[in-house]
Amino acid sequence: MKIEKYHLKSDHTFTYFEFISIGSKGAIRKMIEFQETSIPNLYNLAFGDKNPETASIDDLAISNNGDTQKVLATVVDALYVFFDRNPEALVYATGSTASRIRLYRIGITKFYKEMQDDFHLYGQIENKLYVFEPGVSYDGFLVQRKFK
Amino acid sequence: MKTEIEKKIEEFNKSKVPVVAIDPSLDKYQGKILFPEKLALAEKKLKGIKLPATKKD
Repeated sequence: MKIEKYHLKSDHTFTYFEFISIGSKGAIRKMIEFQETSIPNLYNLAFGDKNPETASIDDLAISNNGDTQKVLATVVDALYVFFDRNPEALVYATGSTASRIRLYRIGITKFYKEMQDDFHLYGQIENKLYVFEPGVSYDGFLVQRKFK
Repeated sequence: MKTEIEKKIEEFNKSKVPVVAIDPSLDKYQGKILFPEKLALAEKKLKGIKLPATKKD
């Protein structure tokens, strides 16, 4: 199955990505950022809407633009690019609300087969990591590139 | 016998890494945290977590 994705733009360091979501509410500019954490080599994946009027980033915005799958597929694309440049990195993702975490879980499950070939996927329950299994609820997610 | 260019094209077509356009206007974000709340939340949730080894398999 061919999944539709948005065209990504990036800064020179491949850390900040931008794309435009086009859906029922019009065109919404989205930003993806791989944030360095206090743990060496571990990055937090964050994304949200960019307000063109104020140039501010709204990390709690829920666009409901009717293109969730396409947006998540684009985030997976950014993950591929980031790991291509940072092969030894670990990338963490969590949501600010239970519904956001659920959305990420659904997204990972959707791309599970494709991602499993290239990445180790873990789900976090409290302060432990487990190999990701579709259908299990987690508090966060960790992705690590596989070396073949 | 494939030429170097043919090999590169084949490699490119097989790659799952998408082509990304570089937009220099995004360079202004370098060194900035665009989503501070998300970073703070991640730091909090990652406290005490045991991570997998990062060395190559």
